[in-house]
Amino acid sequence: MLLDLHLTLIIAGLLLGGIYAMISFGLTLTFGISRILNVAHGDFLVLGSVMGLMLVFNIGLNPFATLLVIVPFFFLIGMAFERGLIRTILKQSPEKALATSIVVTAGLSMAIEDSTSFFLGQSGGYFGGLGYISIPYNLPPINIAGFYIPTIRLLSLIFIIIIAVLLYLLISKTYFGKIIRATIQDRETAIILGANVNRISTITIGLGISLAAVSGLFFAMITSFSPFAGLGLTVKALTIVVLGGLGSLIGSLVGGLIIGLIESYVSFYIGTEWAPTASILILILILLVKPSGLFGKRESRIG
Amino acid sequence: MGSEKVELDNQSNLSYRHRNTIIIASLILIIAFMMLPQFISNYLATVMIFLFTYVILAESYDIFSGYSGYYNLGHGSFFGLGAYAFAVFSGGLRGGYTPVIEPGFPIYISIPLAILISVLFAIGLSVPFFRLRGAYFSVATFGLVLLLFYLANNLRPISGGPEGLHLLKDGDFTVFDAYYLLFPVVVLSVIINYWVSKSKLGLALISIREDEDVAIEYGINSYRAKTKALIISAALASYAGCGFAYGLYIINPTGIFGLEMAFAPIVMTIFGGAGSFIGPILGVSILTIIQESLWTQFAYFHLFTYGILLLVVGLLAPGGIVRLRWIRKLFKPPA
Repeated sequence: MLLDLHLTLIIAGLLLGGIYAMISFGLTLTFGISRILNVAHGDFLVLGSVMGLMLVFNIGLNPFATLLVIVPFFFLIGMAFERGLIRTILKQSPEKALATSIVVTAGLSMAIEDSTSFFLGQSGGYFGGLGYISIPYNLPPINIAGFYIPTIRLLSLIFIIIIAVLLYLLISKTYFGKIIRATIQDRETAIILGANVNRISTITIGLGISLAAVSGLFFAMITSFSPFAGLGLTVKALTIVVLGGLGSLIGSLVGGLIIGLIESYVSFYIGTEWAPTASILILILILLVKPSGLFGKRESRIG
Repeated sequence: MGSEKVELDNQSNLSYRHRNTIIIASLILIIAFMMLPQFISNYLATVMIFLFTYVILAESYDIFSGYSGYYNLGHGSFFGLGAYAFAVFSGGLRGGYTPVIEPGFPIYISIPLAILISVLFAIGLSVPFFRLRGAYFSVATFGLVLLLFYLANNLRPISGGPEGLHLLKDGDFTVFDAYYLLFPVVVLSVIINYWVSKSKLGLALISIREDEDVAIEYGINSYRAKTKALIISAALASYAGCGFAYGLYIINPTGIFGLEMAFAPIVMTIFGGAGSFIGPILGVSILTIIQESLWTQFAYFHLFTYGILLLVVGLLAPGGIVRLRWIRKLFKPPA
């Protein structure tokens, strides 16, 4: 019985952590490749979940099948985002670019949140004016060796693991991934060595945004949130990115899992309202012990 | 870091061409604002309280972050701590399952106490947090706002939980009392920001912004300079918190530590131009006026319009409005 409980908690924690890791991974990619902060990252997540919701409700697709639409669609959105906004911002000097990116993406975030909530929250509007986003999808729990495991969570976890493995292969085994890593490490040198950094940035940020949208889909399946959750989610992703070390891809994965597990256990043993407190405390503690995050290299200054 | 000219001689120098005009204009403005409560409604006075709070927050944020180059996203924690400490010390109705009336001190005791708590908090922070640099510093400090937000939500016996605290008011309290409580400090914060920009402290902070390691090698005690600036910044922000709580007399975690309150002054400062005493006040005034007029003009999509406006101006005016060419010209030294 106790094992059963821990198994449930661990699956819930890993799933939450996996989703967090995906969100943060997208943010790390964006930050690493262009050295700007995308405050609207969490809003792309919300948009992803809204699109998933639309497909499930209007066309009746299976939530997992919506991935086939969401991934390419938000890949294009992300590419447009890079072309239109980030590249314009990057024309400025690096310090100014960081400040400008905060203002510009904060504006974008407000615009997205307002229009999303308008279409969701109108009485008689979309989804009957629910006002919050959640994808209802249920399957009977499966029984493995006497343990009851919630199927949706297990399936989502499997999907997230598949995505993580694909990403790992892309980043670490392909030539393309090598260029991404080189650009993250040193943009100037990568340009000198002949990498087409502009094209790489466009594709990488497209990838980051579509990751955010996919995590939005999974997030909406395990919980419900308001259209205004975007900024809060950005902050959470940022927390995890910094916890793992800025620009470190493995760091955001480990950081996400740590935060997910902690939140899952704290919610059960102490109370749901203390879960976010615990994750912030962990972040501050880790930074105090290791000022550059778990996997970050000691860097003199960013921004 | 310094890929362009160090802006030591930026807008902060009043020995420029229009010096007298600017000083006279500000005096007239100050007198006008002192007279203003005679002519405006309660609603407008409340808007002014928000405006003043934002100006103090933006100016005090700028005193630390604008010059030192450290994005202190946790600036709202000083504000919130001030507001909550003030509300707790001055007593009142505590929300929650069973509302209780707590006795308290008059404001001339509770405001200094609240400021003291914020300053002690800033000093306590400086030891561990100044080890962090760049984005790590920003995120860790932002974590502080979130931490305080969750604590304010969860520590019911002190903070009243999500329902928050209600201050008890004398019969003759009007919102204009808060107006006069905040306005002098608005002027003070602008003056302090100007003073910092001209002082040795400002010079130390700017050199830290340009290159901290080099600054340390040239004998600048970077820890001391940053701590001094943070203390000034925290004291002003917590005063803004007191005035804000006093004016609205209801505070709750979302209103005080919410993302809006934590982010808005910072975005407004960057929008107006960080690292100059005019930038924050300009950014806050422009954005608050636009926000209020959008709010009253459009039933829907005011936030959308506001966001798009931020986006466009952010792209067109890098470094803030004060660094636009035609505004710079106004402050250019005579040739």
